[in-house]
Amino acid sequence: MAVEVRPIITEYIKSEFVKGDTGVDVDSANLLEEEIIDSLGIFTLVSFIEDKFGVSVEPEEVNLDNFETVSAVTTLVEGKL
Amino acid sequence: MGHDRHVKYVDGLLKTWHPSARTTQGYGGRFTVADVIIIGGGPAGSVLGSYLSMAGVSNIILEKAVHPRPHVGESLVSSTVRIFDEIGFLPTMEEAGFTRKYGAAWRPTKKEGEFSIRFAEFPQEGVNQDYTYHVERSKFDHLLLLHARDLGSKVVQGVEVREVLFDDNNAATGVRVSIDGASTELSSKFVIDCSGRNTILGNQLGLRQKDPVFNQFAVAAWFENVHRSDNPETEEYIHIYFLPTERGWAWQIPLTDEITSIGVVAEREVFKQSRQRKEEYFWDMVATSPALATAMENAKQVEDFNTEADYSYVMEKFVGNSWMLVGDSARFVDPIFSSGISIAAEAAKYASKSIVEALQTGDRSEAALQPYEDKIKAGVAIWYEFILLYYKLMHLFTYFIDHKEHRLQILQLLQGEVYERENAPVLDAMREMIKTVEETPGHLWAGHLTDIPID
Repeated sequence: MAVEVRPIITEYIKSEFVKGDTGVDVDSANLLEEEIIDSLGIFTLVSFIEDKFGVSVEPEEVNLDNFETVSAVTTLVEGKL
Repeated sequence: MGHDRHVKYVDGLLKTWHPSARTTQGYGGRFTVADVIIIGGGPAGSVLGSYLSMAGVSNIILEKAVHPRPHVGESLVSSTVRIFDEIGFLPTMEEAGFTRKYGAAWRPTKKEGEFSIRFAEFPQEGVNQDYTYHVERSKFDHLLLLHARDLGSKVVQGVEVREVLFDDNNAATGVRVSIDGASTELSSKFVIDCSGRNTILGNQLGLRQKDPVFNQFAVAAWFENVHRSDNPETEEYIHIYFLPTERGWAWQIPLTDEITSIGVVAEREVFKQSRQRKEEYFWDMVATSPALATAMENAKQVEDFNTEADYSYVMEKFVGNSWMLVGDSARFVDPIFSSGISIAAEAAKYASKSIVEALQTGDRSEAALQPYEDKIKAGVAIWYEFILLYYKLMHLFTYFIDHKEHRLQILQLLQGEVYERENAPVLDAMREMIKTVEETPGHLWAGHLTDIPID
């Protein structure tokens, strides 16, 4: 069975970056624009993804297209599985 | 020690070693008390004296100050432990109760939390403990100097070297010292400059070159009640806070249970343009990092602020006929990775080997000593490149700390274990990353790179 990537990423972002109940829907939010994750938070997220899914995220992939939303991150990860 | 007593003490020491020595009652000659004259009794001089004494080479350490005396540079890297072990100094370090340093932590400006690394993750050959030390330099330097003396170095304090003496072949033949205004000349086969940032020989010979990139400025003091970390495991690590200023950062070094050294470092221009006094400047810089401001919320200052400036330089060469430069007297780049004492101690070790060899062969020429310079220059070049890339990356450096492949390599560098460039591929990875971030349109990390030139 394929790994459910999306909920794992959503849960991680919620637990690591969202403090308290902010009413933000992480799953559909624009992560950077809504300042849920800043550019340095991407480090932490990249490390998590690499550990959790055993994939490698290259420095050149750290752009808006790949990290704007949970959906984008999911696509990036799934492309590597 | 009172003035008269001190003069008498120096006189007495010199007479013990050389019966015809006369210093203060009108100088009457030039005399030899050892094969090697070491200028300066800081870590470089004391480690060198220790190795030479262990090898049976007579040496005298001439120290300008009377220890204990204060000094900046309070944290060590772990390769230093191996040297202390070799010269039998580790038991003294343990007895003195210096704070054990198990690792390093980086503190982002905005985000809470820390990126940390623990030395135990990479055991080092010949190092049988997983920690090094933070040291009050007054106490540490004094103990190390006494250790050299115990091993057989002649130690004279309160004696300032005025100049190094040379013969017609540009070979160092001794030094002219000043003891309470009276001048005396001491002869030796070797003169080794361990005078630290005083760079006595480098100044005399006009060898000093200012670093083209670095011109940092530091303000530091000791404090009580610093909140070192939320994480008990890293409380006794060195903490490095990023500051949102050109090449800005702060160190947090736990010296005792109560006292923490805090220093703020940035491009000198930042300080100049602030037009502030050092106190205001320090506290304004602290306020720029919420993480550091929190740590300093209840801090109580226990000594005056010290400043260090103009601190990046290199000497054109490190050796000549019968002379060598060891430690800060040869080069100093930047305090960011606590590399100063490690470089000084490693250099002292290699210098002692070269000296022993030269005394055996009788060849004390510049050419014979060149391998020492090559070795030390290569080692320091790695530190330099590491520091340069670090300052280019700043916050982005934490990516490498957290990266599973690069982490150990970074740790090895931080431990002071890399003396050959081919053993540091992570430096290439850092360059690669900088290139990628600079060349990828819309890269999320582009705003983090500093203006520092790296080529």
